[in-house]
Amino acid sequence: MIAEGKLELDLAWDGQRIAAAKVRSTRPVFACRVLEGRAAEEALRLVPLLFSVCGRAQAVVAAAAADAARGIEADEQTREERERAIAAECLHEYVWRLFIDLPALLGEAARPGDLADLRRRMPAEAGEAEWLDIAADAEELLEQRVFGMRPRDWLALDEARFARWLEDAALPSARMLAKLRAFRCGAPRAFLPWLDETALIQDIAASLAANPAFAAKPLWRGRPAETGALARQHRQPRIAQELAANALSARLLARLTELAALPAQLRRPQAAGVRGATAGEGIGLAAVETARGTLIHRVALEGERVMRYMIVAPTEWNFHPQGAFARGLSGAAARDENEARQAAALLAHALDPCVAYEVKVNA
Amino acid sequence: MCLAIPVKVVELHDGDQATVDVGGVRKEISLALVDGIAVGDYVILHVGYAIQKLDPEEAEKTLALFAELGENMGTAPA
Repeated sequence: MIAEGKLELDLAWDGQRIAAAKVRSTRPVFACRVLEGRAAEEALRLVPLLFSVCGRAQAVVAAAAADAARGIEADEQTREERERAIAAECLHEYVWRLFIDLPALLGEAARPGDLADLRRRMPAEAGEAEWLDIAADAEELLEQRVFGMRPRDWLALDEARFARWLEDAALPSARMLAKLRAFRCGAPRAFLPWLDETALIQDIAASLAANPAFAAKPLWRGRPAETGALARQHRQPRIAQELAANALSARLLARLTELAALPAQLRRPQAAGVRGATAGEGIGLAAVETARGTLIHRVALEGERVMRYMIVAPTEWNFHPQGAFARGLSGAAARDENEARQAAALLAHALDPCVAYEVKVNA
Repeated sequence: MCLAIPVKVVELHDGDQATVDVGGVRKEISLALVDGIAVGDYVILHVGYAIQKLDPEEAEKTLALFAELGENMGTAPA
């Protein structure tokens, strides 16, 4: 039986700093090949069962890649449903990071009850009217438990008011952001740009065709690249300013900024996240923006049969052996092994792998 | 692209905790994020939390798929 795999993160610590960080992944990145030989319809049903951790995004990107392979375009209602499914899953993932994972790393109380509450309000299937309710519920939860004000008001804070918000010690999200500013590591090198139709064909499809193992260690034009909220938001003035001071807090701020905009996206989805590209007869690619970053599927169909299936997932970009995690830790100051371990855990959290990881420190 | 393998709940404990069977290995997990789980149910496990309850038919289908995946399907295409 195949397992979901994990990331082994080995740090070389020289007594003062992390000299190097090695990443070894046992993720079965070619497991999607189990879809090969099946009818396209069946493959589309199986995708969310196989990859149910981010099942909604996986189902959406698979459907969009199949559309592109068949040379058809989804109607507006389908496109809206897809955007909402992605936004709902992104909300769930961001709230998980914020209520469970990050508190554990920063000595704060985890709040699984609040996440369970959100999950109860988000049914797997929803019609137009239910989505409006879900958006209203999400907005209320974010107001009460994350921002201390309506998310849209938080997004509109000017610099002085934002600085005051950060000092609100009663708010766990503000407190955690302030705490992250004390850690120095993880400066980003290169971001994965927005992959449009041209980039999907000329860069991603071409790389996958030249070397199928690209999916395990993807590069953007020959270099490792970071994907995720910071890669999408780093040009926003407030985030750029935070990034100039601290990379870990900037990644959290980018996440919070996207989180605050999600209720509006649920209410009235802007067709922005899902894009497809036809790379040849029967060959479709699609990319979607998930909480963890850009998720890409490529499907080759012969008639309605899947001949080849490839997935390039965010974890493989961020945890590339020379990627954002490995390079971001190299040289980071750490007075003892525990500090080295915590820096690694905080950067791993910021880059958000979709599997468990294990940190080892070799002195 | 995270594979999510169904696991079977074999014991329930206090405080939303449970023991599951992961391919013959017993593991303690949290049920804090899902409601109404009973012994014998299949759940999807993610970093120590059950995140989804599966109906038995769906679980069987998924497990069959993982069994089929085996080892050689985890390799890069030639």
